[in-house]
Order: sequence, then structure tokens, then C-alpha cells
Amino acid sequence: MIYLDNASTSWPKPDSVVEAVTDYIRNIGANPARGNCTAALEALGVVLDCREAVASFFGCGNPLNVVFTHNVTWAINTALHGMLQSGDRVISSTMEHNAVIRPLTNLAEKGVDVVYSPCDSQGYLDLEAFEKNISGAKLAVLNHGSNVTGTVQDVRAVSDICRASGTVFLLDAAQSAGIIPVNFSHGPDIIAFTGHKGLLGVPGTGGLVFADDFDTNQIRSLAQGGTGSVSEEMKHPDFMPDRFEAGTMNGPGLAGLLSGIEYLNSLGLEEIYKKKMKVAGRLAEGIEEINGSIVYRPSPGKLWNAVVSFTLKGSDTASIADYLSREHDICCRHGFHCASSAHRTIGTFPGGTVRLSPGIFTTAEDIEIALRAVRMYSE
Amino acid sequence: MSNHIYMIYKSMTHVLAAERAARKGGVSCRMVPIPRNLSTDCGMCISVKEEESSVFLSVVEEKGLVPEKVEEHKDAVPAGRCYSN
Ligand SMILES: Cc1ncc(COP(=O)(O)O)c(C=O)c1O
Repeated sequence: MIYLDNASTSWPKPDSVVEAVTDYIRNIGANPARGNCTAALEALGVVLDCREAVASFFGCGNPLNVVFTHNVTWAINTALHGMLQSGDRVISSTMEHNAVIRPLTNLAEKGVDVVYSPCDSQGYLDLEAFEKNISGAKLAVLNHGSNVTGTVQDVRAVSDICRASGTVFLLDAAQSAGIIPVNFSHGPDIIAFTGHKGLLGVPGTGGLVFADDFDTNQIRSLAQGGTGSVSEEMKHPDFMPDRFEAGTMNGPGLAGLLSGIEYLNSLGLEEIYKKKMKVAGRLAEGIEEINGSIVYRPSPGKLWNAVVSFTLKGSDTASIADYLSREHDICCRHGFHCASSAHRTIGTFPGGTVRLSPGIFTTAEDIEIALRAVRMYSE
Repeated sequence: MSNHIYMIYKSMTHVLAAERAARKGGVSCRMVPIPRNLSTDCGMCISVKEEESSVFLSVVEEKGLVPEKVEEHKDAVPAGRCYSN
């Protein structure tokens, strides 16, 4: 198989990640923060190691400001439902994933005023319009790196606008984390991440990270339950990170996420970006050479999330993806990529695109095979 | 034998984070089960020798890890454990 769907979930995982997950299951096993036995403390140590790794990865000074959830969808829901109430205003963009759009739609039904600020046909947020639309917004939520086009938003500029209007800025770093720098020094108040994409962990991990000066009391908890702390109280704890973590943690998953981040740190983000640009760049250029093709991506030279979304004139994207899988065992994704609004924005609604997303282990040879396959389809 | 001070936290995550911070800061301490008479919580707390307790407190305070309660403990301290790395 040639796996070109790393924007959905990265594969393969580094051996060290597989080993960390299995080692936890085989040799640690116990429930973090439940009980004082050696294994439970060791398990809690892994979770704390992972908090420290995540905090430092995003430039957060306090590991207790890292909250783990099942994935970024759950993290974003926690922030949106926890902060917004009827009468509040929230601003977002037309390039969002359903992980943002659906909770916002649900909140709109409950009386929250939701504004989607426009983006251009390459997916860039129109900063002037954003600045006008933000007035009165309690929260801004923005997709950092597009899962459809790979367009990367200017976080610093958006942060400045948010700060000036007193709006909390939540950044969806699902696609960008592990590929391009995502850091509190660029100004967001909250970073939502998922563990199983660029961070190279396994599914079932993700979370929220809060800036050091952010008051987490502004956000109500989404779920309440056992935390292993203050057990005598009926009320769910209000302190971090327990405030947002009810129920048994995904210990094996967090062991894997820790190992994934260590792997990224050992390679260095710059190296990873260069490597991804090489394969994704070649793939995009190769497809652009095919008659009737359009690749939807930022202009060359701009920051890019390394996803290659394309259409072929007169071809159904489902049929292209089916051909690539059936005839060439190439794994990719077609359609809307859970982001139909983004496709409306870039002009690929309702057909969608075929998306090929190389990963950290994609080789030049994989790319040539994929290009040959797309060429054969088009002929 | 010197007295020990028990540093009691809200959660085990805080205990472990404080223990790590203290050890990094060169303060020796041990994690011990919280005696039920000090707290009904089922976790552990940090035991520090009385003469090191003020250094401990200043080191952990820097990390925002101020204990919920600070209790003197005169009895023999149970064998503690360290899990920091
Ligand atoms: C921009 C963006 N946000 C959110 C998500 C949702 O990720 P998860 O399924 O891990 O919650 C994705 C993944 O497809 C994404 O690309």
C-alpha cells in the first residue's frame, strides 16, 4: 500500500511509538492517578511526561495547563460549549472543519451569534473583514492549517486583532502541529491539537493547551466524573487539569503521543518541513503537469501544510480515488474532507477534491508511483 | 530525628509535578500515602524534612504548585518513594 492520507491520520507510526504503546499495555497497565501502587504512579508519570512534552512543544510554561481529550474534536467542543452561551458572539472562518462548524451550528440553535468571516479562493482569511466582524465577539476560533488546501493562516496577525478587541483566540492546530511551528509566542490563548496526525501518536489522543496567563475558569467543564482527586466531594474539581479531565485517561495513547513528540523533537520541525515540502512539492507539480488538472494550494514559497488537493476536468473525484485504491493500492481521500464550507470557499463545491497527503515516511518513489497512477487515470 | 512536614495537594498530578520540581531544585523529598487523619483523599502527599520545608515551598511556588495544606508530622514517616526522572 502507498499511504497518502496522513492528513486524516498519520501512518506508519515510528517504531518507538508502537513500542511505547505496547510497553505501557504490557508492563505498566495501571490506572494513572488511581491508587498509590508503583504501577499507578508510573502510569501517572507517563501522563505527566506527556503533559510536559506537549507544553514545551507549544511553548506553554505550565504542564498543568495541558488537558487531554479523545481528539481535537472533543477539545474544540470543550472550549466552545464551555465558553459560549445564548447572547454571546463567536467569530470563525469559512475554512473550518466540521469539528468547529458543527458545534457552532449547535450553539447557534441555542442563541449564540455565530459569524463566519470570509477567506479568499486560496483559503486565506481576509484580515480586514475579520477585523470588522470581530466586534463584540467573546471568542474567535480558526483553523491554522487547512486540511483541504494546506493554506496556513497568519496566526500572529489574527492574534493581534483578537487582542485589540478583547476576544479569546482558540487555534485549531489539528493539521499544523508537527509540520509547521505552532506556538503561544504567536499569540493564541488556546491551542487545540490532535495526537494522531502530525504529532505521530495514536488515535484517541488530543487536547487543549492554555496560555500561561489564560484564566481557565472562563470555561465550564463538558463532562464530570472521577478524577482520582478530592474524591470526597460530589462536585467535579475546578482546578487544572482535572477540571476538564473526567474518567480514566488514555494511558497507552499518551505514552504513544509522548514518544511521537520525542521523535519529532529528535528530527527537528525544520527538517520535517523541508522533507515534506520536497515530496509534496514534487507531487503537486507532477499533477499540475497533467492536462485538465487543478491543484488547490497556496502560491509556491508560502507556508504550506503539505496536502495536495486536486481535481481533473470532467472526472468525478470519487471515481479517481476509487481507481487509485483499486488499481494501485494508493490510500487517499476524496470529497469534502469534513469541510464543505472550505470547498465552497475555494470553488470546489459540490464535487470536492482528491486529496493526497504525504507523511514523514513518504518516499520519492511513492510519489512517482502515485503520479504515474494519476496520469494513467487521466489518459 | 528531625520532624517531617507533609505537603498536601489537590491531586496526584500536582503531587508528582511538585515532587519533580523539588527534586530538580535540589530539595530531597519523598512521596508518602496521606494519613487518613490529615485528609480523606486516597492519594499521596510529599514529605519534606522540617529544615528543608521553606526551600521546598519557594521552589514549588515558582511553578505555581503551592500545597493545599502544610502539616507537621511527628510520627515515624512511612517509607517514601520517588518516581521522578
Ligand atoms: C482542521 C481539522 N480540525 C479538526 C479535525 C478533527 O480531528 P479529530 O478527528 O482528530 O478530532 C481535523 C481532522 O480531520 C482537521 O483537519
